[in-house]
Amino acid sequence: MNTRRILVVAAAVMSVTACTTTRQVADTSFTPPQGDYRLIVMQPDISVGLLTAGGVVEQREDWTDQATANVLQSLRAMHAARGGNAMIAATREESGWDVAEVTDLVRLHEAVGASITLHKYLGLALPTKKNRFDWTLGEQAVEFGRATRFDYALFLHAQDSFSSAGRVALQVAGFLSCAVGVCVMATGGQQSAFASLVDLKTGQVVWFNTLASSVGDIRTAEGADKLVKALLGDMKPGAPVGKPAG
Amino acid sequence: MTTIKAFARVLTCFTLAACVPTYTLVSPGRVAVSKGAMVVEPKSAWNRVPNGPQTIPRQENWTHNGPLLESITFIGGLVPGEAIAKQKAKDDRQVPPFRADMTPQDLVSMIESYYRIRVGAAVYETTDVRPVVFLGQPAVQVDFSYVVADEVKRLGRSKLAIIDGKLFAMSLDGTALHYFADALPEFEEIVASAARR
Amino acid sequence: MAGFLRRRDVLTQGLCGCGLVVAGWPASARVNPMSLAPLVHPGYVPADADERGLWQQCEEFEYELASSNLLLQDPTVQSYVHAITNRLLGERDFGIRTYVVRDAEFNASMFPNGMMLVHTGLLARMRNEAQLAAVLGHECGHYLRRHSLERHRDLKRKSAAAAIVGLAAAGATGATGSNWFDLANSINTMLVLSVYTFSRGQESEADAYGLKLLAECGYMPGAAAAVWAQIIAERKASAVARKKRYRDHSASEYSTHPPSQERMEDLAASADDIASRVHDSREFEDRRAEWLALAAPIRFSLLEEQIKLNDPGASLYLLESLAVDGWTGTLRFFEGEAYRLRGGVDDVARATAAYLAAVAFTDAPPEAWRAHGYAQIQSGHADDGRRALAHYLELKPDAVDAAMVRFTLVQ
Repeated sequence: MNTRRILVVAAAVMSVTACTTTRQVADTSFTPPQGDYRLIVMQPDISVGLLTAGGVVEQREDWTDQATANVLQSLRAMHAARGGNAMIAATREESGWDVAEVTDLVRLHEAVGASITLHKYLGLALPTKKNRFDWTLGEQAVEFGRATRFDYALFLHAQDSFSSAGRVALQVAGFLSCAVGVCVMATGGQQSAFASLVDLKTGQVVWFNTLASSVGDIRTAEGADKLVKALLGDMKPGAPVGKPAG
Repeated sequence: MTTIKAFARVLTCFTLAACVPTYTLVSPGRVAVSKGAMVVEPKSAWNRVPNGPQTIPRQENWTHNGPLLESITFIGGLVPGEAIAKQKAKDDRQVPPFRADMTPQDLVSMIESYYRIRVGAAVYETTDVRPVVFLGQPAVQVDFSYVVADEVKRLGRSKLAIIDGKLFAMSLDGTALHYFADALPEFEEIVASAARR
Repeated sequence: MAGFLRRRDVLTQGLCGCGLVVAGWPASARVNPMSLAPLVHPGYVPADADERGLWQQCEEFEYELASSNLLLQDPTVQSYVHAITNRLLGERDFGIRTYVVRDAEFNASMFPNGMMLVHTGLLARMRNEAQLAAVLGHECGHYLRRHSLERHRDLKRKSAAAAIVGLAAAGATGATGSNWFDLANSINTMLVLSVYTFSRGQESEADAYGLKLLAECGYMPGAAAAVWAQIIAERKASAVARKKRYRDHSASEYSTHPPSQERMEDLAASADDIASRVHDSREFEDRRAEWLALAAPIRFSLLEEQIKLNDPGASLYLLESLAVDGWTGTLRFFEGEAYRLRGGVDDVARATAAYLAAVAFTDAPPEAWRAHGYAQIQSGHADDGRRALAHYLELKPDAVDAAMVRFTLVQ
C-alpha cells in the first residue's frame, strides 16, 4: 500500500460530480502561514498521462514536464503574494541536507500521509483522534528545519489524466481492481492531488488537503493556477470538530 | 504485528462495502486483552485494530496513530501446534508453530520467520536478545529492525514467555523515525502492568 | 582476466565471423540464436510518446531504487554483477544498469530503459558464474529485442484492465507479495505487467539471445538449461514437502516461472548445436572458482534469507544442490536450521546431527556452535551443550544475543 495509491482511492470516493472537490483537515491550533516565512516544497510529484482504452494511465513525458513547470510556477507566485518564500527541491539532493536523512524523512511522510488518508478520509476512523489532527514527522523534521532554516515543508502529489475513447465500459473493472490493491481509475479525465504541510518548528503535520476534479487541465498555466488555488489557496485554520473542514 | 498487506485487505473490505471494519476505543485503566488471556492497564487511550482474516483468534492489536506507524500486539495463551500467524498446511512458507520446549533461539527465529514470511521483510535483523521478566516469569526479549516495500525503516520489540506450556507475547512495532521510540515507554508500562487471568 | 577476454575474442570470431551457425541451423521452430541482432543501439533514446513516458517512469523508479533500503549493500557484488553483464554485451556499451536487491525470490527483471534488477534469491541459487551469466544474458535479450515495449503496446491494445485485475488478485492471495515490486507497481502497474508477462515467443527469443551472448563470451552454453533444471527440481521438492502437486504457479506470482518443457528442450538442443560447432568445446568455461570466491562472504546471508522462509523442501534441495560441490560448515549449519524450523517428527534428531556435522568443519560459523549448544542441551547432554555455547561466546563475544546465551549458561 502506498500513499499515491491510497489517494487515488480517496479521490475516487470523493468525486461524485463533475466539479472540483477538496477536503481539508488541520491541527486545531493551525493558522495558515503569513508574512516572511521560508517554505520548501519536497520533491513534488506531478504527472500527466493518457487514459488508454486498455484501462491504464500511460504517462506522457511532454505533458508531465509542462504540467510540473506550470504547477511549480503557480506555487511560487502564490507564496510570493503571501510574503513568503517558496523553494522547490525537485530532488532530495536539492533539499540542502544530508540526502540519506531527507530520504528517510520523505519515506516516513509517505507512511504518515497514507495513515492520514486511511484514518481521516477513508472511514477507518481512530476513536482517539476523533477531534484531533496530530500526526507528526517527529524530531528529524525539527532537525531538518533547524539545519536548513526552513519554517515549513510542503509535500505535493498531483496527477492528471486525459482519456482516450472507449472508456466507459471499463469503469466497473477499474474500480474493482482498485479494491484488490492495484488502482486503475477509469472515470475519464481525472485530477487527483494532495498536499501536506509540515511545521518544521514542531515536526507536526499541521494541514492536509486532498483534491479530486474532473475539470481543468494542468498542462496549461491557467489550469495549473486553478489546481494550486483550489488545493492550497484557501488554507483554513483548524476546526475543533470531528468532521474535516472544507 | 500487523502488515501493510493486511491493511490493503482492510481497505479492500471497505471499498467493496461488504463490511466496514471499525477501530474501537480502549480507555485507560484495566482491560482484558487476547480473549481475556491477559489483563493490562494502559495509561492513555488506544485504538483497537479490527481483526482481519489474517489475525489469529488469540491476537489483539492496538495503535495510536495507525498500524502503518505503530502498533502493539498481544498474543495470549497460544497452545503447542498453533502458530503466531494464520496459515494453511499447504502453504509453501510457514511460520514455525509454537512448541512448549522452544529455546530462546527458537523464539527468536520464529519472530524472524513471521516478519520475513508474513510481513514481507526483505531486510530483517535481530539487534538484541536478552532475558527479561514478563508476567512475573522468565522471558525473552527480542529487538529487531526491518524494511518492507514501502522503504520505511521499522523497529520492533517482542517479549515472549512460555508459561504452563503456553505462549504469551507482547510486541511493539513502529517506524524507526519517531513512532517506535515515542511508544516505547508506554509499551514498557503496559508490559509491566500485565497479568495473566 | 586477460586470458578470459582473449578467449572471448576468439570465440566471437569463431561463432559470428565465420557465420557457421547461420548456415546449417536445424530446420525447426527453434529460434536460431545467431540470427538475432539487437534492436537498440548504444546511446539509444526513445522517440515515440508512449516509450518516452515509459522511460520517464522508469527513471523515477530508478531514482528511488538507487537509494533503496532494499539494495544489497555490497559494492563488490554489485560491481561483479555489472561486470558480467558488460562482458556479455562485449565492446558495445548499451548502458544497461544492474541493481542487486535483497529479495529471497528467484528472480531477475529487465525494465524498458535498460535497468535490471537482480534478486539475492537468484544469487543464492547459482553454482557458477556461467549460470548467473545465463540469466543475465536472457534478461539482456529482452532489452536488446525491446520486448517490454512490444509487450506494453500489445497490452495497450488488449484489455489490460482484466489482466491487471487478475494479477492483483493473484498477488493478494500470496503470503508475501510485499516487496520492491509494490514500489514499481505504485508507479505504473502497466510497466510491471510489461516486464512480467512476456509472451512465449519473446521468452524463446530471450533464451536464444542469452545463449548467443553466453557462447560469444566463452561461457558454457549448457548453463542456461542447467539453471532451469535446478529451479524446476527445487520447486518440485518444495511441493512434495507440503504434500501437493507441483505446478509452475505454485510459486509466488512475482517469482520467475520456469520455462515450458518445449523451451527447456530448445535451450538444451541449441546449447548442444553451439557446442558442436566449436572445435574444442573445452574452451567453454563455467568459472566456478571465480563465483565461489565472490559468493563466499555473502553465502551466509544469502542462505539465511531463504532458510528463514521455512520452505523446507526448497531449502533442503538448495543446500543439497550446493553441496554437490562439497559440504561446508555453513551448508551443514543451514541444513540443521532447515530441519529445526520444519519441526517434524524426527527433525530434532536431524537438526542435532547436522549441527554436530557443522561444528566439525573449521569454517563453521559461530551460529553453528550456538545451535549445536542448544541442541545438545535439549537432547540431555547439558555439559556438551554448555561448552558449545561458551565457545560461541568466545567466537562472537559481541553477539546480539550474548546476554541471553550467558543467562542460559548459568541456569
